[in-house]
Order: sequence, then structure tokens, then C-alpha cells
Amino acid sequence: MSRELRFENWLRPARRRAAIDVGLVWLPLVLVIAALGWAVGSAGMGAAILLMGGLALGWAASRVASRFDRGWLVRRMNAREIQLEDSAGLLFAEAELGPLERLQADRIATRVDAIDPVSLADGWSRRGIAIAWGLGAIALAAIFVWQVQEATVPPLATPAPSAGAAPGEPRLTGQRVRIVPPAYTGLAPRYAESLDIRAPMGSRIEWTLAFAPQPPSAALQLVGGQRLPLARGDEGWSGALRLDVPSLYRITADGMPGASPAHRLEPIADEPPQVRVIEPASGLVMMRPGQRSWRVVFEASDDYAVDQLARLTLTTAIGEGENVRFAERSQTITGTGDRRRRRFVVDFPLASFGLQPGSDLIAQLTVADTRSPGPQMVRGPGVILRFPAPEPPQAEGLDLMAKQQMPAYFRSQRQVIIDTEALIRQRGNLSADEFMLRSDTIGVDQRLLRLRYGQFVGMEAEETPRPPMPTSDKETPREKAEPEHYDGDGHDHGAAPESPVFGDLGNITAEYGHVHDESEAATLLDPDTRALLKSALDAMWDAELNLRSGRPDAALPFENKALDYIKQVQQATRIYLPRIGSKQPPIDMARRMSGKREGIVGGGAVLTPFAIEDAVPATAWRALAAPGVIDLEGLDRWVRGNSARIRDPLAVLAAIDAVRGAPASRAVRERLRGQLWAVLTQPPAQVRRRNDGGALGRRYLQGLR
Amino acid sequence: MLTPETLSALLISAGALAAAVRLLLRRRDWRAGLLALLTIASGLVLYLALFPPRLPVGGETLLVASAETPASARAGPGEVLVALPEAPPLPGAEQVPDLATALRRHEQVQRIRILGRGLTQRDRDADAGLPAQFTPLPLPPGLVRLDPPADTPSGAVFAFAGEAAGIDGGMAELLDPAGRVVDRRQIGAEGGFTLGSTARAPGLSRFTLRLRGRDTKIVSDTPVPLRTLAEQPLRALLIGAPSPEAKYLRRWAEDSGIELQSRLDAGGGVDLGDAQVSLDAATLGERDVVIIDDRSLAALGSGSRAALAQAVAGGLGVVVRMTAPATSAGREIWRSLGLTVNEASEIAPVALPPLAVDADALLVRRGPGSADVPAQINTLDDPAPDLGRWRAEAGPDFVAAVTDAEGGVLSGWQQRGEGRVALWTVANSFALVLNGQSDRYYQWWSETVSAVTRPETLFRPDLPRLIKPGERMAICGLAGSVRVIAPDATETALLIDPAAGPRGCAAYWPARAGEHMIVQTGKNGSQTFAFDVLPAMALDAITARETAEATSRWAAAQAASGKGKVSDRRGPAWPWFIAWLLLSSGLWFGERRWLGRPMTVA
Repeated sequence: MSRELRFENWLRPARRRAAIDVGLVWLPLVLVIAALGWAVGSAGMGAAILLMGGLALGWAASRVASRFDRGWLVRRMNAREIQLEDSAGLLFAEAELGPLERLQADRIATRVDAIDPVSLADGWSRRGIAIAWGLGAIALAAIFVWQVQEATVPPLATPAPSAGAAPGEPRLTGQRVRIVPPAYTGLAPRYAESLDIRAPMGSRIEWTLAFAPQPPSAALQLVGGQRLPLARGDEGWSGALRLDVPSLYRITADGMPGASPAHRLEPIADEPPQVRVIEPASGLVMMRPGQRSWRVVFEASDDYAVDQLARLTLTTAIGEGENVRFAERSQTITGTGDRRRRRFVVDFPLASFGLQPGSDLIAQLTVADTRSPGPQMVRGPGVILRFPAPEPPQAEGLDLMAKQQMPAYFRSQRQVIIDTEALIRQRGNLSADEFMLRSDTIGVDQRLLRLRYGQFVGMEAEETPRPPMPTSDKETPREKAEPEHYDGDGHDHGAAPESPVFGDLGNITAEYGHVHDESEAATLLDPDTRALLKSALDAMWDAELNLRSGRPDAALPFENKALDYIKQVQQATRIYLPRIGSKQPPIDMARRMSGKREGIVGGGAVLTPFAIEDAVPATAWRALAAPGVIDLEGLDRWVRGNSARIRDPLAVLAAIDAVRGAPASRAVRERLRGQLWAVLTQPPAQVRRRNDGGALGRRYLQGLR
Repeated sequence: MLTPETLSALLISAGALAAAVRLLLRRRDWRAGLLALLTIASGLVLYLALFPPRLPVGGETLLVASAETPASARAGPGEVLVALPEAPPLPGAEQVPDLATALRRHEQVQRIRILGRGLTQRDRDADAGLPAQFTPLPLPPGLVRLDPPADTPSGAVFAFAGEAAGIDGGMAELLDPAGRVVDRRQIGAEGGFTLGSTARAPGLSRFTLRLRGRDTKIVSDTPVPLRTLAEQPLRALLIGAPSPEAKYLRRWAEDSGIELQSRLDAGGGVDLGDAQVSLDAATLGERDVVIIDDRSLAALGSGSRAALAQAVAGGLGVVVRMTAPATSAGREIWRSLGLTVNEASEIAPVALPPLAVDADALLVRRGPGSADVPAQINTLDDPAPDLGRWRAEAGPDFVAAVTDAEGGVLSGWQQRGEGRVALWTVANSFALVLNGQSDRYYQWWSETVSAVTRPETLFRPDLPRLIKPGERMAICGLAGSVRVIAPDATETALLIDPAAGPRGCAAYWPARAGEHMIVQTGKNGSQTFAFDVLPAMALDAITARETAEATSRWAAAQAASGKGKVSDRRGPAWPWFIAWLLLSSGLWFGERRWLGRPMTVA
């Protein structure tokens, strides 16, 4: 007996039928999706969807078919065939059978052969197939109809009713404007709703116009420009134009009465792309220790499309101080994402740049849009990765240098002499009091200078030196403004300083005693220099005495002597003055430039006028208030010349054109007047003259005196 | 004095007596006596028919229907209803051309009651002589008051106020002549609002005030006339040290057409300004205004300072620009110029109001930018600079010229003689220019300099602020031969009213809306001044309110003046006439019957 009954042979028909069934039920859906893909996208897209759908369908069918296995066969046979006596399992058993089982199997085997394997399979799911194909057919038909409608040219639209034409004169009866944007924009051609057209720059505009009755010729007349003759076709008169500059046009036909209204031709300029840095968040990033790579993400956006390729410029500045080497390299990177908004992600392996502490790595992206001709390139913001320089070692033992020094506000001895001489010369012009005051002021200068030099010879300051010049004008009022601040007045002043500096405890002298000289400077002078300096100080003392008692002429010899000594000291040795920090003293206007400077400035600075020239529209604006003739040509020229500044130059040109057509119409003039107001710029505010109120007002004011 | 009444009385009594005596002479019986009595009675009644006795007249009320009188108005008992020309058609009302005619026709009325919106100027001119009563109708929702902006120099900011009734929670919008929104305010419960914008080129322009209700529907559109004046270039002198403030002041002067001389002392005799400018009476006499900083003022010699002080008294304007807190010495110098400031050393922050309500309005206000400064470069969101001002404490003579959003005085002036001295207290105002708010900087300086500049005799006639066609308007400040040119180019010579005296007033009736031009030809040549006549219907709500107020005042005045009027009038004559007729016919009949018979018998 054929005990090696192959159960696959029994299963095959059932599997085949199940797979075909699945395919038949779902195929319409795949077809509809593919058709949609073809309609919305392209034929390639439709084919791809079809292929993908077919594959998915095959996979699903095979999954369904694989559900039919030995167990299913046994269950189905036992269920369908009574003659098998629920023993079909024995026929396809894999394990060795017992004697009784074998007997039963042999009995059954003969009956099995009589069974047609096809009869075991599931029936067709007829209803599902019918519904699927029915719906699928409807959907496909709808898509087809939609596509067909899409492809057809719409009929000519009826134009807005305009001023009635006399019978026999041609009148516009149909219009259709097709806008074909340039290919690089990726925009589909469309039909304009009206004769006012706004389209991307470089679009091709195609007009089809119908007139009744038929004129001998028709044209599009650009206002203040060329004339575009229309050609007669089947549907009507047609013509085309490339849209590059904003202008107005009107439709003219032979025999058409008067001027038809002007329509707008407005190009939308292509904006340059914009680059944004997404990552890092700030323009300057400090490199982390052990950082291996640096990730920078740029995002470029454009109104139509960003070129997929962008140029990345990398600049390295390696080195410190004046020894910096620059290197620049660039690479092309590819962006991802939507064509209008692309992301450019770069990971820099930092090892290859050889960065050292203190050096910078600057990344900058240059993107272009797809405009043709002449893509617009835009250089984006740069991001800097900085390898932090090591902290400079803390200065120790250089307290004097690190300390903030009080800026030197004293006058030089030479200045004191110049001032004194000037005072002596002016003596005749000044009152006694003023002379005394000026002399005393110079005396104060002399004293400050004396105290300053006195520090180097251990001279004790007579009082706490005060900055001779106020550092800020605001100080005095501020002290006055808050006179009632004291500890415990109710609000927080912060803790009182106990020990100003940690480790300053050893400074016993400063705390309990006082030093007579500057610790560093005093011992640095040799005895001879000290003697000279002392003589200089003595002379200064005398000079001060005389100045303060109002005798500058007596002080002058001492001042000169002091200058002489100081010069000698300077020549004799170097004086180690405390170094002054980098903070510059504020400029003292009274002291500055008091030397002879006549004639260093030739003439006054001349300003170039910066006001916007809008006298032409202003004149026209005034003239429009009253009836009269207006220089429309000049105005037209002005608007065309300034069209870049004006928000809507076409509206102004249209209003000018309307006035040209109907110079006496009040409404039209008012409209142009309104448009001109929008064109005028706010001038710098002028001064209003004051009226004296006539004779009456003058008499009143004179009576007040 | 022989009045008609006594003459008639004498004649009648003489006639009657003569007739009676004649009768009694002819016959002497009771019939003759009766006829003589009748004769005398007839004479008496004839007199009374000719001159009816004065009777206290019954109190009739004259109902005067004016515009928008409700159609339900009817005359009750003791009332007479008359309709003025502006009243709607009313059943049973007598049409009268004006109130005076109505009073003439109805002499018997004792009081007047006015219905509707009120009396027009035509009827308010004269007193009625009767007590009048008027209850104003509630005002229609809309604009009830409009204070149009004052004359504005080119480029400057103007503001105006208005009041709306019945649209609490609505919006007041200001539209520029091109129809774009430049300012916007919420209308509160009080109804008042203030709006503003900037003036452009010199000329007459018409803004539009649009009121919107709470539901943002348009309630009314009212024209707001703005006159932008073309001014003669100002002659200014700038004295100071080279500083950013001086730099931008020079920039402003250059761009706004000021003839500026500058003396910028860089020290050491170095002058960065124009060629040497000396401060003497002759130089200062040629200048309209001097802008000087406090340090330069303190550094001036005593001679220059005295010349400056004298020039101020003669009309020169001086702006003292503070660069540091005021010292007592500095204030003493200011006082010598005529500026009394007690204290100005405390710094206070300047509160800047926003430039416009929103970014769009700001763009519209500024207009298109230039190639160098595109309109979009300075936006509303740009940070405002931190400005500080010295808080100037001054006397009551000190008038603020520029104030900040919180009313802090940024600059103010004081009169001295014919001139004025201003104090500019913002030391770092140039920061406005650096922060893209140069328009505000220019505005502040324009206001300050405008306040103090040298007064001049200018042709600026006094006009009503809102002019409607068909209404008489008074134009004052005229001299010489004056005429008005209407928009349709018709010329009307104005007759200056000698009764107005030195004010020089003339009347004019504008016939139609539009731009009118006053041309005055005098000893200063021909001077012109334009004014705008608004469309007739534009100001209806405002007219209604004004009419109601004026009528209330007029009615109150009538009530006060009409108290002492006598209320008796001559009674009707016809009853006396009939009585006389009856008596006379009786007399005639009696005479025929009794006196004739003896004749026939005889």
C-alpha cells in the first residue's frame, strides 16, 4: 500500500486556492493606491507602489497558504469524509504506528484515494472578491475622471462686467490666464483667477482672450512700455510674456472704446535661502576635555528649494597670542529632508585638526537655492569651537601690580608752570577775587604733585589723599541722595568686613602702626637721588606757599627750580613708580589740548544731506487737492525710479494711469492722492515758527517787561 | 399828547352827545329819552369796538418742532404746533420759515417749548422774549466731540482728541489719507480718546477717524482735517563741545532744513564748527534760536553772556542743554538769561511711550525707507534706550515743552521779554538715534525749539476748527485786501468788519467742501493760507450735540429774561362790533318807528 502518502499533494490545491483568494480580494486596493500614486506623483511612483503592493500581497498570500498544514488536513478530512472514520490522522502519522493502528490505516488508505484533494479546499470568498473589485473599479474610474478633468484646459471665464461698450464695439467676453512658473520652483502650472496676476518671477504668462464682435487685431499694452500683439487662434486671441518686472497692462483691441482698466503684473521675487544653526545652541562652544568629535547641525530654508549640496568652510586658528596660524579648508556636504527645508549635519573628528589649547575651529555653511540662472548663495552664521587656553598662573608676590591703582590725576610740574605763566599774563583782566581763586587752584595742583613725589622719600601724607578730580559727576548727588544709611536702619547692608583678605593677618604694621613711605619705592632710591628729590620737594613747597597766598610771580622761580630738580632726578636714576593698571584715567576736558593747536582743523565738518528726496510726489500730492494739471510723467518716472523702496508701486502706477485717463475725475484724483500719501516718507520733524500775535501781542509782551 | 384813542373818544362822545341832545330837543317823552340813551350807548360800544379793552390773555404754548422731532408730536389744548424748515413732516403742524415768523404769527403765545434736536444758529440769534423750555433728545451713538489737531510742522507728531457717545467698549481708529490704520484706542465708559500720527509734506490732508462698536462694526467715519505748514528755514546757532548730541543735532538740522551755524569748541582754540562765530548783538540778531550746552554757557565771557541775555529779551530763543547736574553757579547764569530753576541735580529715568500701537502702524507712520535705511530695519520690538533726565524744579513760570509718558519734564521754557529760554534736561538723548528712534529724537527737539524760537509776524488767520459748507464762518487776523479762492476757483473778496477792531475779522460762507485758500495782499506782499471745508454730512453727530447744548443755553437765557413781561393784551373786537351793530340797528329802527310817525301823521 502507498503508505508514503504525501500530505503536501493533498494540501496543494487548498493552499493555491487560499493564496489566489487573498490576491483577488486585495489586488483592487493595490491597484487603486498605485493609480493614486500615479495621479498625484508620477508614473514611476505608481509603478513603485504597484511593485511594492504586489510583493506585500505575495507575502501575505504565502502567509495565508502556510496556515494549511498537516493538522489542518487531518481535521478537514475527518470533518468532511465520514468514511475515514475519524482516522485520517493515522494516514499521515509520522510516528511508528501500533499494530491495531496500522490495520485501521490500511483500511482507510484505500478509501482515501477516492477523495479528490480539490474538494478539501475552502470555497472562494465570492462576496469579498465582488465587493473589492466593485469598489476598486469605482475608485479607479473616479481617479481616471479626475485626471482627465485635470488635464483639460478650462473654458474661457467671463470677465467682470466693465463699462458698457456701444453696440458694434468689441468687448472682452472671455479670458483665461495660464501661469507657468519656472521649472526650478517645482510649482505646477495654474490658471489665474483674474487678469491681475501675481506669479513667481520668471514665470511665463499665457493669455487667451475672446472678444465679441471679433476685432481685426488685439494687443496687450504694458503701461509705459511695450505692446504685445495677440495672435488669433481657435479659442480666441492669445499671447504670452515672461514676467520679470512689475508693470501694469491693459487689453486693447481695434475699435475698443476708451481706455480699459489697467491690470497688474506682479512678480514674486525669489528670496535667498536662510541658514540657521540648530546645534550647538550658541555661537561659541568651549571644547570639553577629552572631546573627540563635534557635531554641528545647520538648517537651510528657502521659498522654493535648497540645493542639496552645500559648501562647508572650516577655518582653524591654531596658536596663541601673536603666533596664530590660520588654515581654511572646505568640503561639500549633502543635506537631508524636504526640498524647502534641508538639514545639514556634520560630525567633525577633532583629532584631524591638530587643535592646541587656545585655538579655534570655525565652521560656516554656504548654501544655494536652485534658482536658474544664477542660484542665490548665502553664507550662514559661523560657529566656533574653542579649545580653552590654560588659566594663567595666579600672580603671587605682585600685590602692587595686581592691585587696582588710583589713576594719576595730578598735573605735571611743567603744567603748573604753564598755568602760572598764563595766570600772570591774564592778571589785568581778572578781578582780585578771581585771581586769588585761580592762583589757589594752581597751588592745590602743586601740592598734590608735591605729595605724590613725597611718597618716594618717605614723606608722610598730611591727610588722606583724595582723588583731585571727581571720577564721576554722579558721586556727590548719590551721597546726598541717601543720607540715612547706617547699620541697623532696617535693611540689609551685608556683613561688615572683618578681615578683608585671608592671610592678611601678618600685616601688623598696617593694622597697628603706619608706614612713612611706600614699602617698595622708598628703598629703591640711592641717597643722591633722594637728596635731589628732597630739594625738588622743598622748591615745590615754596612754590605752593606763594601760589596759595596769591603771588604766582613769586612762585614761578620755585616752580622752575623744582622742574629742574625733577629733570635731574629723572636723568639720574629710574624711579620705580607703582605700575598702573590698564584702566585708563577718564579724559579731563579742562586739561586736555590746552597747548597751541590753532589751525589743526580746516573748516567745519560738512554733512551730506540724508533726507529722502520725495519732493516730486509731495508736489503732486498738493496739486491734486485742487483741480489743475499735474506732472504725471515726472511722477511716473519718480515712482519707477523708487519702486524698490515703495511697498506697492503698482498700485501707485495704476492710480497715475487712472488719472491720466480721467484727469478731471475727482474720485480718481482722490485715490491717487491717497496712494501718494503712502509713498511719502515721514521727514525729520521741522520747527514750527512762533507767531508774535501781531501788533497786539507785541504790545502785550512789551507791557510785561 | 393826542393819541388816536383819546381823539376817537372825543369825537365819538361829541357826536353821541350832539345826537342825544338833538333828539331830546325835538321831542321830550320817554321814547326820545330811550333813543338818546341808546345813542350814547352806541357811541360807547363803537369806541370799545375800535379799541377793545385789554384783557388778561389765556396762556397758549408754542410748540416748535426742530430736526428729528418725533412724528407723534401733536398740539394739545392751549398749544400751537409750528414746524421749522428742518423738521420732519408733521400732521397738523404749521410750516414756518423761522422762529421769528412763528412768533409774529402767534402773538398770543406765552411760552415756547422746543421739540427735537434744537434750534439752529438762525433761530438762536435773537431773543424770543418768552420763556422757553427745551429737553435735549438723547445723543445718537457716534462722535459727539472732535478737537482737530493744531497746525503741525512737516514731519512732526500731531494729536487730537475726541469723544464718542454710546459705544462703550468700542474702538477709535485713525486712518491716514491712504486708508491705513495708524493709531487705535479703546473707548472707555467716559467716551473720550486721544489719537495721533505724523504729518508729512506741507499741505492740507484729511485723516479719517473711524469709530467701531463693541462688535467691531463701523459706527461712523469722520474726516479729521490736518494742516501741515510750510515754514521758512529756521536760523539756528549751535554752541558746544564736539559730542554725540551735537553730532545728531547737526544731522537733524541738515535734514530738516534748518540753517545751522555751529561753534564746536574742541579746546585749545580749535573749533570744529563753521568759521568763527562771535556772540555779539549783530550775530544774535540774525539767529532765531541758540542751542548751547551748560558748560559752554558757563565758559562764555561776561560780555558774550550779557549779549545773549539782551538778545533773549529782544526775542531770541535759547535752549540750554544740560550735560551735568546743575550747580549753583550754573543756575545763577541761567537766571541771568531768564531761566529760574531751583534744583536740577537729581537723575530720574525717562519713561518712553511706545512709538505706535503695533508694528504695522509704525511702518505706515514712518513711510517707506531709503536704500540705506530700509523701513523694516527698525522695528517696534527694538529695545528702547535707557535715558535719564535731571529733575528740574522750577517756578510756575516754567512751561513744559516735552514730557515723557509719565509726565516728567524733558524740556521746558520760560518767557523773558519777547524771547524764551528753554532747558533741555536729557543728557543722552542722542541714544534715541542710535537705537533707531531718530523720529522721536527729532520730534522732541522740534517741540523744544518750536517753543522758544524767535516770534515773527506770520500770516496765520484765526479760523473755526471744523468748517462746514453753508455755515457762516468768521476769519480773524486779516488786514489789507483779502479774498478767498474756493475749490471751483471762484474768488470772493472779504470785507473786514470795522467793528471787530484790531482783530481784523471778516465773515465768509463756504458754499462747498474742499480746499479753500485765503489770499491776503498787503504790505508784505501776497500771503496765502489754506483751509479745508469738510463735507456737509461729515459732522452730523457733533452738530447735533452742539445744537442741543446751544439751544439749552438759549432756552435758559430766555427763561431768565422773559420773566417781567406783561401778559395782558387787547381782547377781540368783534363782540363789541356786533353789540354796536345791534344797538345801532335798534336805534335806527326806533328812530324810524317813533320819530318818523309823527312826521307822517303831521
